[in-house]
Amino acid sequence: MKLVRSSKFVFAASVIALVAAMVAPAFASAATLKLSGSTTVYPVAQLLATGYKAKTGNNVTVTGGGSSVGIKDAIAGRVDVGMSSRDLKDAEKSSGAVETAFARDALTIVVNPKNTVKNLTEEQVRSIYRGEITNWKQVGGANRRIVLVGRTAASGTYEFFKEKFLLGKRQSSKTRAYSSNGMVRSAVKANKGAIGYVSMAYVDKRVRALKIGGVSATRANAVSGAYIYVRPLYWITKGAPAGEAKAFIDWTKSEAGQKIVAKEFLRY
Amino acid sequence: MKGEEVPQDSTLAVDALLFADPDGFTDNEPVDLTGPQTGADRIVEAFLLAATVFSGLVVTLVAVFVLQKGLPALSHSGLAFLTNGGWDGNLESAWEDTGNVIFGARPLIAGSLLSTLFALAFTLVLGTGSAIVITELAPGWLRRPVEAVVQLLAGVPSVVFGLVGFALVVPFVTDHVLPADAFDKVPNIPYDGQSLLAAVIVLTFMILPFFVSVASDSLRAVPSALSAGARALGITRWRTIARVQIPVALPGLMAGAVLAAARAIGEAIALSMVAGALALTPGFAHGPLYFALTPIRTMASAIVDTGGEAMSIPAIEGALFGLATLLLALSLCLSLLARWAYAWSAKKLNLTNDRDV
Repeated sequence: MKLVRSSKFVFAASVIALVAAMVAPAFASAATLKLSGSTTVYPVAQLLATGYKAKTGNNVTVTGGGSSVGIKDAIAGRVDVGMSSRDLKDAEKSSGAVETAFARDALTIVVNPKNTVKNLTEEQVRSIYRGEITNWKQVGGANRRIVLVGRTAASGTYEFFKEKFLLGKRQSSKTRAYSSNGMVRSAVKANKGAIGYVSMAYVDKRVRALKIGGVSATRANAVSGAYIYVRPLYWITKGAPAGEAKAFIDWTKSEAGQKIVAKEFLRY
Repeated sequence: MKGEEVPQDSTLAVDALLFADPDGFTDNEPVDLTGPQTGADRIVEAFLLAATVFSGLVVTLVAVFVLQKGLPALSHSGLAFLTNGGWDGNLESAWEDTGNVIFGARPLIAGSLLSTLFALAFTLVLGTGSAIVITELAPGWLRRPVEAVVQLLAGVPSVVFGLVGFALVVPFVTDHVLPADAFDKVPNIPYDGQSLLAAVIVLTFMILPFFVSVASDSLRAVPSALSAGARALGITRWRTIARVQIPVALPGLMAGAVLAAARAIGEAIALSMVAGALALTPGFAHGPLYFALTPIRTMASAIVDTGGEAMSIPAIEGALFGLATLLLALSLCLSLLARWAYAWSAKKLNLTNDRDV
């Protein structure tokens, strides 16, 4: 009986110790910077957080949610820095949000690897997403129905696509609308007739990036300016960046930070 | 639900114990079941009471919060919320100008109800069959592994079902079910494998284990005296199962069905991946096949798909809470339905639950 009791005590004590050990660092660390927002920015923000920690010892925690969430969180003070892949709306600016560009991202039009179409003009992309061109044979491909894949209304990626390719008009209501770059890529990979649009960072062998007007969607072309569908990515702060947030933002724009940025995106 | 049937009188409870466990007490003295209490017991009891009150309070507050956010949006859109389509376009309008947008969620409601109803129908047929095999027909060496598999399946996270559905079910529907001339026949709907059909298949496999484990438990709880009596009267095995065991286990089967339906109607992630991500209402204009192949979006997946990025717009937040209110109302209806069905079947059978007495 005594043995049972003492072993129970040891167990309880070790559980408490374990919990304490897990919780303690959260309180102990001196400076923790919180980031949230764009799923486009997310992967590179994590790389930057790791690099920043290695250099300064300060922790940076990154969560997703989407550009609008990041902007909202930054305005509300829930995070130190928001991440956004779209420009601020006027209402957000008047709430005190300030944007600092730190990188650029190319938007790529992707199709299933089995699709024989290699090149579309901007007008053709527009007609496809407006529902006016409905079969790949109308743009020189096989006789296969075009399945539109895109993003939901609030996506920063969609906002940019709409502005650049659709000239502000909406994508067809027959567009399958997903909530992330990754899901668009999966949907395009799964369907031979699909077309989609994703951040260049999400292009891999599962999907094929189309040339637009004869220009390949490559990093080199985006850097040189030949591929024009390039948008800035922003850090969002409430008011001008200050303190720890400013230190982090300045570092991401320094040579060391930009080297990390260039792994996924283009320098700002 | 079964707990309500336990006799309140402690003497009766002891009698029940005696019957259940013949090697237990030997005298008929009523026993004080509460026993001596120490200070530690009281602390634990107080803690348990506090925990119960707290969790009840949290559930109530969540419901109040959802209603408070959702009802204004519902009354703003009015009946159109239930009868109009155009959800995706409504979202975009709200996102663009934050003006006075009327939302129409009919395709989402239809998507949720249709996928749940069909999945439930398949589950009832397949699940009752499997439960009978597990409890009555399978030999012991087969029974245990089958039950283990069923219970394992019940614990699989839904996103795994979504991945498997996306990798296997959707391509299967595309290659083997979707007619090659689908687009020529119905030009205005972008068919591919993602569809009501794929959603129903994935949902069925997701809720089947829930139903089977509840159903086999309730079949096993049927007093063996009843089936033994039936057999003694020369009634065949199948007739015994169909006319004695299933009717007696019916309240349990219904509880299992409601549990399964509740999981199906709330499922979001897996259906976002296989159902089509397009708010369309399936119609019969081109026959049952095209009805089943229509891409759909359910209420729960609409909340997940739209939630993160668009909640900063009050109109969109309101509309999503409107959906949440409907989901809440639906699950309330389900649990009321379950109570009613339970009472109805118990009354019809004129059986109480103290089966060992």
